Amino acid sequence: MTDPTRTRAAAAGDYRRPDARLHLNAFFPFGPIYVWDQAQRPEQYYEFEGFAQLARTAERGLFTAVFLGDSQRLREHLGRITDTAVTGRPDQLTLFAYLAAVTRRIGFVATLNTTYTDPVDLARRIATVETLSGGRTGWNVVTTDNAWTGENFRRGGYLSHADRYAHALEHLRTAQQLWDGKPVELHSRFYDLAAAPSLPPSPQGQPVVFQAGESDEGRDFAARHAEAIFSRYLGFDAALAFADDMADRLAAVGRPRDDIAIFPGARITLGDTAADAEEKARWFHTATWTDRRIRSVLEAVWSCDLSDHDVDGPLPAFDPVDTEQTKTHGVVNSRDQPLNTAAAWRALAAERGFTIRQLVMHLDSSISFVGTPASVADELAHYVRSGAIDGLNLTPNAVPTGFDEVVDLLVPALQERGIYPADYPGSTLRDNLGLRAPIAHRARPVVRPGRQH
Amino acid sequence: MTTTRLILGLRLAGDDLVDAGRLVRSARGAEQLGLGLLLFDDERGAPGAPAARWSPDPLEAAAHAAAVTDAVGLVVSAAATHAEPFHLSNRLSSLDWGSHGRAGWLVSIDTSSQRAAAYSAAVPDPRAARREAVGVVDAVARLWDSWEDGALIADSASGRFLDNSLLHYTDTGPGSGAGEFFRIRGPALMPRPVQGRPVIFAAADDAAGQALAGVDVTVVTVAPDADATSVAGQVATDPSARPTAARVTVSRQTTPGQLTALLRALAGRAAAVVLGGPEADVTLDLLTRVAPGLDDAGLLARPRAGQTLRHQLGLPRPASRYARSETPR
Repeated sequence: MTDPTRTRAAAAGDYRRPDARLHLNAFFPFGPIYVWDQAQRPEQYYEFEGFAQLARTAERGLFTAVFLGDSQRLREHLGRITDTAVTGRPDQLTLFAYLAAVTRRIGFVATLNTTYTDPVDLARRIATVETLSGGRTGWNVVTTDNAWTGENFRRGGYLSHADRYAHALEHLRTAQQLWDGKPVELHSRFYDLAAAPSLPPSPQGQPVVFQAGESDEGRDFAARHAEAIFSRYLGFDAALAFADDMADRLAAVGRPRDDIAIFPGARITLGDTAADAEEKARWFHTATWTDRRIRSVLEAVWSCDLSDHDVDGPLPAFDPVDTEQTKTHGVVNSRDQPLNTAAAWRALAAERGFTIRQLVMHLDSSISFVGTPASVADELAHYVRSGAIDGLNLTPNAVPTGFDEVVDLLVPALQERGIYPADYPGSTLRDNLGLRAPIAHRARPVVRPGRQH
Repeated sequence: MTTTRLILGLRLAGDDLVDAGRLVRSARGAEQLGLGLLLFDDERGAPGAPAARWSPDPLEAAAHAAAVTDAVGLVVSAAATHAEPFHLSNRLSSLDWGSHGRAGWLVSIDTSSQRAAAYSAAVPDPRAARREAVGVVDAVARLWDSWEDGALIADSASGRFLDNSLLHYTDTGPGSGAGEFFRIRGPALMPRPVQGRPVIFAAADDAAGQALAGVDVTVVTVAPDADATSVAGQVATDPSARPTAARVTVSRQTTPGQLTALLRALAGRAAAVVLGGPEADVTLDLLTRVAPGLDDAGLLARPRAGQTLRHQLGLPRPASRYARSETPR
């Protein structure tokens, strides 16, 4: 799993950012993967105490934020609710309001959809957590034009793909104007609203804006409006290329090249020796890739039940029954063409002699850092000093003890290498991310807030 | 079971909820005093209406209080008008999970132009707003039922975390009126709430409140200077036999003696009394001088740690409407 190209050493002094530091966020995806036998009761994955214990451990390890992923519809597999992962998750701002009472410094980043929320209502909810936490919130702004998600809402699927970022920008600016303590009146293609601020101006200027879109349009939106990014690029070369691309886009809109913090998602597995760590990672991988989950990867493409297929046998000999993916929802590749995917997988399996299991293991793109605390710390120092990443969105391997090893073993090793602080630099999320003032508050703002017509 | 013991409650709203330290002190203080309810009220009903005081979202404020209390019920005001049932249901369900079954919802119907303007919506006429509220409450409650109890199985051998035959789409299935107002697909984003359904409160003087199916507690407003005779008139026996919660707004002039007399008159008639005033701190001070005497007289119903709000109010935990068997799973 560890990509050897990531570890190649750069000559000392070669680094673009020799003094850079690393941030760690506690990341909970929507539909996390755990070894269920490690929890006493499955309810622990939903109760707030488990999140609180992880947040407190993360805070002891000076993590920058708790970051939650989102979906506004339970994922489906073959027309039924997905049953192979922990499904569902507490409302993010409700959970964060609770966690704000049991932590003091760690930040809270919620992934909230502009398409299916009302900006005035959402601005108030975020501002409430912002106020109760003393300025520790961030908003990962995401969009969807997805009618499938829209079935959970009164308004239904109403927004076209082309309009999603224009709509998101009006939503975001409405919220930011309210956070600045200014009334909003907006009469546009999307809104016909008037509102007064509900809370005092934010203690950190404005909640921090994260963004997670990968498309060209998404990257441009981030370059103009975001202060941090949740990215998918963790392989060293891909991460560096992404960071360079974002720096160029920032420069093009008149922002400093380092004006955005980049956080890829990752797991970390530590051991006393490299072999020990690899054994632990292998165990987790085997325990979480059940036959049912392996089979579901193929079923999502073939659009039919493959329970009569041995996962240690060959791929189905027949073609996918649907030429468009209609029975599995909520996975990132839902726009894929099943016939093309199936053909490519069959060709790969034929060439390498893969069984279903071997193919799925080969395709598993979840990259993790596996090694001793010293080797992982060295690798992360290389990443951050090279300017490839600013931090990691780190997924725990278990609830509620999943960050214990990282905090007890890796954090000291990061501190020894000078890439991790000895204390929180400030009290707000913006302080602790080392960010500048909100874009709209700068002397010569790139993007002017206010009148929106 | 009739009891003469009263559950005492405190209303918190607006500036009471802005400062975390003050909110935590009020919530803990109320619980230590033996109060059974905190009502997190919406100062203006609309998130964007102008007002002299700040108006945080009551639900997030209640979740903050949940972290520092373990017995008191947490009732949240939220208007049904213009609200997305999917968000409301998940948020209230999350509060119920986070508080181990202490969540309640005071449903209101807000036809103000301020609320409409905050949601880019037209001002509804009262009858349309009532129909809308009925639809929102129905959709919210269906979503609470959409995961049957026992859906979490975490079976490593079969690789199934859920029994997805116990999860239900809420725009189809048993019960009349499915999708009459809104077609919300579901299921909810959380397993069934601890209480099955958080306790729903609705005002008796809100004509709409009475039209809502699934209301658990009727809320009546009682004047702070009411005597025993007028209390009897104001807290009429609800023919549906729902418990009644009386809302009383006290002032800085209300004396402990007056309040004690009122609470004694309400004991045996109302299940709960929620006291509001200009500031929660002032109201809590007044209660500090009244609650111990009521307790000594055997008239204070103190909540127990770990008890659900339903249990406190003597309400049964409802089965999911989607459960095939009548025996609880």
